[in-house]
Amino acid sequence: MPQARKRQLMKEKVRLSNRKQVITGVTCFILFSAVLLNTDAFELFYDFSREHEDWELDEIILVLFSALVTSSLTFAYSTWHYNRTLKEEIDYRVKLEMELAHAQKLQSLGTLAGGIAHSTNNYLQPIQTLSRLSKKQLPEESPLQSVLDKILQASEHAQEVLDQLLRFSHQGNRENPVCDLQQELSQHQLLYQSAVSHAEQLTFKLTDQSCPVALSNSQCADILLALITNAEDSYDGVGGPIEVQLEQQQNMVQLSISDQGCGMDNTLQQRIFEPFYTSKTVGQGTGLGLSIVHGLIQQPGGSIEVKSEPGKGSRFIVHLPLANQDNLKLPLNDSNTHSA
Amino acid sequence: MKHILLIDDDELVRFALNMALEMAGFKVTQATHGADPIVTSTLNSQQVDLVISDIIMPEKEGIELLIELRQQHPQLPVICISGGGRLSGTDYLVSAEKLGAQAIFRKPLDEEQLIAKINELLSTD
Repeated sequence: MPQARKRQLMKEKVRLSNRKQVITGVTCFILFSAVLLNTDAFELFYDFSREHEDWELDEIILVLFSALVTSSLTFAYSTWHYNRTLKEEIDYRVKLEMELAHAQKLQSLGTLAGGIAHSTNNYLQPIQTLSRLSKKQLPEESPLQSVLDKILQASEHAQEVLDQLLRFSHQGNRENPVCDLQQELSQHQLLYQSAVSHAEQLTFKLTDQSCPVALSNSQCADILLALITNAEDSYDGVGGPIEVQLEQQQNMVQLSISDQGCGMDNTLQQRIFEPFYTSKTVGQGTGLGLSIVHGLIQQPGGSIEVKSEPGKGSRFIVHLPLANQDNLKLPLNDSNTHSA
Repeated sequence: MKHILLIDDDELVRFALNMALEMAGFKVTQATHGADPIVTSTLNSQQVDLVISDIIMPEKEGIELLIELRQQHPQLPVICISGGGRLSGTDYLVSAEKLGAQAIFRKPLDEEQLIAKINELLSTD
């Protein structure tokens, strides 16, 4: 798509500039002719050549030739410069168009996911309640007890997936807390290391400054765990170095997670944040991890980008706006069911 | 016997919750949405002890109903239930809580927790 769009834009620009050049040329010709006719220019030329009859032919040719070369070079340079500017402009425009299309796609997927989760949560209510009530009515030793347990189990799995979908669509959160990423990472290094198969391979390079962001501690942990697990998975079970880097830049916090695993091609990079999109084999992942990360990062107005090359590893870079330090609270209760 | 008004547009949700509440010893009246004539007639008969209302419903949404209930029956406890937000980043359950719902539950809810909450609300009355 981007190549085709670039060609189309280039054609359009060239067509417009051609038209402009023709109009300018014709206008110049008309003006020049009018001036020549009005000033008896031919007479003047004739007089001039009469007065300089002593000029050598090769001198004239040299002057004319060097004028030709200079003007050709100037023309060639200006054309090259114009084309380069044009190309940069088109590249930038196509990049913006693609980013916009991508953001719109993820947003509509979020709306869709929210709608599906809402209706399906409603359907789960009678399944769960009626199963539990039936279990109460049945005698303890009835073989149907275990059948009902299975129904409940399956419906709880469905509920988990729906919870994740709601989190992708930014509709799961109910609080506006602040979490200090620097503290979270420095205090829980062991926890994150336990999530990978070779703990010593996971290294941290953290700033000393505090990095408060407008997310809850558990949301920060979700983001970190998903990105670290994703990096771990890029080694296909063999394990390898993963580096977590945290720094503060002006009013932003930059968190990056790099690996040297299998990497991704451009097509994959475009799609990894879509829900249910997964490159892992069936049963290895739900394909929701990175889409939830995307949803969570969007909440406080942050962004995530990925730089990757197949075979050379990937680097996920998260930018989050610095939150107001005054709001820094102790870890909040994150259960999202009921309260009085 | 305590009387509960249960409002939800989903017939199966009503059926399940109705069964759970009746088994717990409550009298239940069901309505399909906020503008259902049963709601007004039941409320006017002054016998209702507690209202359980879904939030996203046709005709009259739960939030609208909640605002009316807070004005007309400020003493009546209301529990809001919802399957999660729809078409919007705002969470309806949080709004319901801010507008004065005594408790909120996200569907699918645990009926035992719901009944415990109802008993708690009705005992403090």
